[in-house]
Amino acid sequence: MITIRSLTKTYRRNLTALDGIDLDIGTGMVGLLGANGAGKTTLLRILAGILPASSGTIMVDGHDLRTPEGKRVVKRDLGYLPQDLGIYPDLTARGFLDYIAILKGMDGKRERHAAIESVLSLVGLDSVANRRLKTFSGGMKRRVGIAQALLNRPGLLIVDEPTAGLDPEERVRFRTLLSSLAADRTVLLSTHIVEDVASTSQDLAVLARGRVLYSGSAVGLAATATDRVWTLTRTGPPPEDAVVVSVIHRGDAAEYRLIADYQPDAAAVPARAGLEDGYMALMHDQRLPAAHPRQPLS
Amino acid sequence: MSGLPRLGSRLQRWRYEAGRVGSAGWVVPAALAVAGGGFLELLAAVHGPVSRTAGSLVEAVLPLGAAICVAGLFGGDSCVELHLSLPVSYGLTLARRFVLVVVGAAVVAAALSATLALSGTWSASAGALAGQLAWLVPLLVLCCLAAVAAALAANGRAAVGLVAALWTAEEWFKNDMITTGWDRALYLFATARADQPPYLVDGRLTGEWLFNRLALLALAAALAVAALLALRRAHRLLGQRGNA
Amino acid sequence: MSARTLSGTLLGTARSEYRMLIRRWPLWCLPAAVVAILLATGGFGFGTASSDPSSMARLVGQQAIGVNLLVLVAIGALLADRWVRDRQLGVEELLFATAASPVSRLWGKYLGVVAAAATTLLVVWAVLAARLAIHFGDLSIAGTAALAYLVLVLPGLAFVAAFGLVMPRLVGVRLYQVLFIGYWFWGNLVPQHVMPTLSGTWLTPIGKYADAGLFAHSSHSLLLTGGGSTAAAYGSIALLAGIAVLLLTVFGLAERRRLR
Repeated sequence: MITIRSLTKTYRRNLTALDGIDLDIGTGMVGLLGANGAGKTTLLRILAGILPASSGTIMVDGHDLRTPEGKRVVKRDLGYLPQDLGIYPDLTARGFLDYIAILKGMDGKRERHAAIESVLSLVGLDSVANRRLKTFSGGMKRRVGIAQALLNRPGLLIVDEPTAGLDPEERVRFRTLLSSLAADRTVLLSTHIVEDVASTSQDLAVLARGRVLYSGSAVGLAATATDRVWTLTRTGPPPEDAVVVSVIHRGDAAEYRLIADYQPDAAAVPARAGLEDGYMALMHDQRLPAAHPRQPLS
Repeated sequence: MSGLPRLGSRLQRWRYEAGRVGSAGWVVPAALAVAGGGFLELLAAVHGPVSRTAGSLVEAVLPLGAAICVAGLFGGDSCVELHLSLPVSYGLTLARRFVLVVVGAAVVAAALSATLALSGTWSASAGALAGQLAWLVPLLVLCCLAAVAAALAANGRAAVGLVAALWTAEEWFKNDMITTGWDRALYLFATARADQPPYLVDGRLTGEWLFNRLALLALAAALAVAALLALRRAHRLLGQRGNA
Repeated sequence: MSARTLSGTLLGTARSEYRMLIRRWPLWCLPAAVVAILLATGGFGFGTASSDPSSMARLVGQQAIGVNLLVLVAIGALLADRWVRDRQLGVEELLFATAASPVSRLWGKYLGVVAAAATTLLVVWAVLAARLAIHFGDLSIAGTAALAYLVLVLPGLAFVAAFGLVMPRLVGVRLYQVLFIGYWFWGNLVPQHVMPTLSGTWLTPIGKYADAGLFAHSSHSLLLTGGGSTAAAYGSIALLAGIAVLLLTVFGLAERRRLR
């Protein structure tokens, strides 16, 4: 259980990345959604003990992250996959995992090797474990990243943009893996890809400009867009006062998916609200910039 | 858990850290020693006795190379963020790598010093053991200076710049330094570069020289402590890739 | 590629390189720290100089040599990776995929690096010059200081910056830094009676010839091959600049060939 109260993080030149965050995160898969620059990575780094908070409190299973001892205890039970995962290209996958396992305090050689074989098998890299990491594709490196996060069977798993750069099959595989891991631990999945959260998380939080805009169930967020989602096929630009969720061009015409409080056009047809619609509606309600351009690029 | 597996893991960890030092950290001191030795041979054939130059190679050039390699440890790690999330302090991880670079350079310097002594090219006139202070002291001072500068600035190259300037200044202001009271105690190259009073009298290194070495050792210790304190905020090295 | 595109690439690269560098605090703090430490330990003293113009000129020249010797070596080590950095940061591939010529980019980077370092050196030098003017109560020192900046400091910077762009690509940053500092000592301070050296030749990068020829620093001229005349001063400056240009030209062509 993670309890966050009044968490603030201010960088130099008065850049406020987190502004009074209150959040409770329980066991299971929890999604953290938000646009780029919303503060997701900063929040995750503070939870992972990488950055100090400027103010506020964070308790992880009763341990205070502000204290050195609390930080040490939390890190021992933590698996972290950073957004920008660096690797040591000269090491093999097995060698890299062995090194990280030692740094995680896994001193017993037998136990360590068993854990390494287990995670390699879990992420499907056992056949290439003795290849150097510089020969690995982006997706394979990501899998090495999740493997190192799982070495110590962490009670808290934090993954930051885990599916970035993965092909659709790998992305589905990743989501399935993360979902299975969430059965008996807390998995905090940070992403700006709504589909990843929709496929895996029952609960989520939405961050924007360092603040929590929404905290609750994924179903609840989707429900905020009920009766506000429309599809419209037309030539020319979308209606002025509707938020564009997606656009597909078919010849001269474009098929728009829109968020609007009322029917934006006589030809608009109501559509069932999904999580992405709820997210866009939330952003629109907060008067935050829409994710999609209003005009198609010429 | 028995002690043996733990010892095995610790040794394995040192092996991995040795790999993280990078090839430059091992090659540069050795290359300087070998190239320097070759240069001395050439110089001896053309110019005659090269005692002073040989001593400078051991006392000044090798420590400079090691200090540059130490500075390169800061900001050159592609896995900094991952390290910062681990239970082991990243500051202590860097300290291990620092020790490896210094020990590696020390082995090279000791071997070079012994080779020069055996060949009669140069030896610090203070006996075999004390004579090792000739290169050990500047090695420790420059490496600790590089470490504290890189840790404070979170920028390895800035640290190299500072070391470079001070190294050059020690040479340029040599005559002032060895005549002024407190400067005399802090002159880095008091063995080969300043083979004259007050450090060298009648062919023997003096108590002034020994005091100089001990004062510099104390300075190195203070710099090392400062570096460790600065590394308590190792998260400042995040995003410093490209500043090694 | 048209001349307009080439110049656009060159100036655009120079501008962005300048902006990137001028914002980086080590480029300001390092020269300031070096000068501050030297001032605190009695460096950059006034010696036996009087307010006589020729005495002033010698003192200004001497202090410019000091800046070159100690601040340029720091800057040279600091800026030892501006070309190879693109590869380290993963943007090289992106840049090479554009239509921008590597030759234009190289020269643009070079101009940007020189301009940024020249800016911080100008500030440091201005502080030292102001100190002299205040001590001797003579504002005309500013003119002499400005000349010293142009003919002593800038040529050395141009020389160092060229090597700092090219050589790390060939030998690696770490090894280059070691070789550069060693070369700085050998090529500027080691007298010729100790070993063969560039020190005392037209290739002395800290500007001893220019100092002897233009600022009448007679103690330098005794150590310089052929003495210190005005012609030798300009010859040395031209040679240093010429070597920088030649090095960048050859390297630029080699990079263009590599990327074809």
